[in-house]
Amino acid sequence: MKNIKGYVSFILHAHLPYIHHPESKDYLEEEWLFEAISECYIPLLLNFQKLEEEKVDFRLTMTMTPPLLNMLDNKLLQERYIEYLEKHIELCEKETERTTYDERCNKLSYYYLDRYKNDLHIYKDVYKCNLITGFKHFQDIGVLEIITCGATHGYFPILYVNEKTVRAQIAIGVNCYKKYFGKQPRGIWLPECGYVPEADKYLREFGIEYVITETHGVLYADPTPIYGNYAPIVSSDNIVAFARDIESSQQVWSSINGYPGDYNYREFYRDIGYDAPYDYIKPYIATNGVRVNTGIKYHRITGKDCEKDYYDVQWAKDSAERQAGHFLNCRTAQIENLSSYMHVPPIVVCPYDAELYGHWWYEGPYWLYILFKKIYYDECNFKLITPSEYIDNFPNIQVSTPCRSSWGANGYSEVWLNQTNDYAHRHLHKAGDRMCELAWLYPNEGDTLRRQALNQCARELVLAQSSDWLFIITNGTMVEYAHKAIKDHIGRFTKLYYQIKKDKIDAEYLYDIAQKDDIFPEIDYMIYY
Amino acid sequence: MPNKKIDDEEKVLKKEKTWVEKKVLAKNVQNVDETLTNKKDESTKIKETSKQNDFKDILKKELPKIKEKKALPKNKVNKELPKTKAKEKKLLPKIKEKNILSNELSEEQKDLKLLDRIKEFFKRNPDKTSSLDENIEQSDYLPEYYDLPYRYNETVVKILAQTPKRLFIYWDIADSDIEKYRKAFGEDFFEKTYPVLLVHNEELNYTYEIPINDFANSWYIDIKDSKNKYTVQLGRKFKEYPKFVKETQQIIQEENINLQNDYIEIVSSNTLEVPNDHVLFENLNQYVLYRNVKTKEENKKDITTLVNGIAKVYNVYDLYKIIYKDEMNNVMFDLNNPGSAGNPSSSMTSSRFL
Repeated sequence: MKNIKGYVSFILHAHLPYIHHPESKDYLEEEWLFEAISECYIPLLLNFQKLEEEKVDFRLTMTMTPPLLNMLDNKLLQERYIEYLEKHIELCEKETERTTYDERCNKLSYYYLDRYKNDLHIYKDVYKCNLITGFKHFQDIGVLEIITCGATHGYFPILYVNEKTVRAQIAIGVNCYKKYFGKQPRGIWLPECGYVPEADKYLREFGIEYVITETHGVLYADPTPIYGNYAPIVSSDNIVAFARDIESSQQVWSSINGYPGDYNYREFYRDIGYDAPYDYIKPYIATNGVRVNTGIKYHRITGKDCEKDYYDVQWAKDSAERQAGHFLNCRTAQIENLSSYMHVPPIVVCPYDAELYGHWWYEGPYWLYILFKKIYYDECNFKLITPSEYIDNFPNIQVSTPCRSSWGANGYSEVWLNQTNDYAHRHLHKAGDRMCELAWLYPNEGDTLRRQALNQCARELVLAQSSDWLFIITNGTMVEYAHKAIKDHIGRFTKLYYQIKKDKIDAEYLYDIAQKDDIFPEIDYMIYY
Repeated sequence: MPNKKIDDEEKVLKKEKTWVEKKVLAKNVQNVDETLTNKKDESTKIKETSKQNDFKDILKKELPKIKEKKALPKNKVNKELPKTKAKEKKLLPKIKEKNILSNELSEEQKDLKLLDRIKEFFKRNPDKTSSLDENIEQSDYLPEYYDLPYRYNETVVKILAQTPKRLFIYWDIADSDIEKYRKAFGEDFFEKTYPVLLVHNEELNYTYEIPINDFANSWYIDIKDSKNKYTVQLGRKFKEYPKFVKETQQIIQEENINLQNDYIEIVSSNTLEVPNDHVLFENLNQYVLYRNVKTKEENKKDITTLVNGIAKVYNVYDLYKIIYKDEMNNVMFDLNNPGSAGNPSSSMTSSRFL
């Protein structure tokens, strides 16, 4: 019988911005979703399934953000993902012939062929193109708690200049969750862990009980939390805040000595999209001929600044198993130390981007599987828990107001507010004010066309508010796309705004953008009233 | 050994029991879902269906003339030509007429001639993989291009906190207000004044001025005190102390211009509380307030009763030095800024796709 002295809570934040372009097949950004499904979501589901079959009891919390849910549910994107897989299978079949020059490489090409064929079977035949039901199953049997997020990942510390826009982000997020999971979400992943106390009353209004913050979101709370970030705190509006643990985050995430840097793991930057001969790979890269990642990678990290050796699946699994043991031992020691001082069991909160597991860290989902098995079977002084369970079991919580914070670089708003992207905020604020004005001018609109136009305005506004565009601009990745996304959504919103006010709605234009930006079919603009 | 065997059997039984319970739970959830579905009445079903499903269908009913828009699946092409043929028909008589009258062709006519030549080429070269009829890719969607407006022509100043010690401020003055000031103080008002930001700390009750310039519409300013409330005023200051004639003073009153000596307040910002940037050791008192989040009952606990193994807790800092001792050894960890230490999610080594 284990002597449980504390708890560990894994929280995976699965999010992608809403990328949907029925008008064109050339948007590379659409492949983010396809890569995430193949490398992250399907592997996670398969590993959860293995744990279920092996009767390993585990607990995991996972955000599935509204844009991700809408994309997973989108028929066009489902079809395009199947085409993506079919193309990859075709490429893998060619690879099995091209790589006969090396036995190890050839073996890997068959590995990828099997993997993509399996993905296609799992996606089409097992889940019938609906991965949401897959995750819902694990929630229904009690091992997974799915939580919600802001509608389009709008960053609250900047948006709350107009509080109604924050309220709308929460309302739409909760409604979207209820649509797909048939119940009230208990927790929310604040976009970018961006906490402001002003949002608490709206979280409470829509039934949210807890949020996840960055470490200093709790550590810098007022008054100081007696147990640091090892116990949650509760605000005056009764919202419980759990904060990220530093040590476990660094072990997984550190670019210097984190787990994903193990030399046996797959090297992300050696992809046949860049390595294979150009004429051969051209049909499988970007349509404009730019080389991009295909997901087929034959090398392992091997070391720093050295020639890369071929990847070995078993060696990688061995490393994952070793690191799972290391993580388990570290948490055991950590909780042993903490529990000796605390009057409540400590909770070590481990939040990560879900896409870390599988996309950046290819072996991540397997590592999680092994770790959960070890926690269940091996000697350790803790159990896995969800934040909801912790609240239910230990409801006496210190009252303290969390600190305004985020999990962005340097802990505040620099990533989403700096000289590369600060131009956007006056437009987002203005659009937010105008949306409230429209709701006030046309309450409970009876005319069908005008009501649809008002709802479409709400869609364009929330799409413009996505923190992803600002993040991308700061990081300098797909900057042009992000700039264009802000312009398009603000532009469409503004054009419709004037058309509504002048009572000259262009029905054809409205229909056109409703096809392109069709997120949240059930949205009601009256949330801005 | 027998005891170990019994223990092992017990573990297996417990594991089985847990998973039987989970299956029952899942079944119950399914039953509840089905019951809820059956209980919904027709009107609710219709309402929900019409709401969710396709607001696009609803729009389509409003637009009988809008043709069906199909998304382009990857690697497929739209086989329909544009309305060239119809255009052609309409224009043909005119083209003939034009040719009779003049050798010069319009752009449209040139395009049609080019189209004919291309079609002719592919008729003569059927082995070419591309054919005009088959390879024209045309989206049914409207082309769009947007640019963000330079300004919204409104008088506004807004502040945002970039960090606990840096604010971002943006502003604008509406044309109507510009006219108002020119009417009151003369056409050279903006030449004889300069713009300023007055930064006011509400907690500590101090104000200071930051001169800016008329070429900017946003600014970053550093502030001294974190976790305080700030407001910012956008104003203008006269370069030389002004003397106003009676008519000017009358206009100032009529237009509600807020003039204080040589300073005019244009507009005030939102009130913003900037984030905290350190552990508030001094804010934790002898008694710590607890709440039962289920029952909402509150109670206070003596701080000395909350910590085991330490005889007297004079301040939480001593406790933190113990519970964060491993982190303290890490050069990257800074108790004053733990947030930047461990999360590369938003750095250049981000774990995100974006």
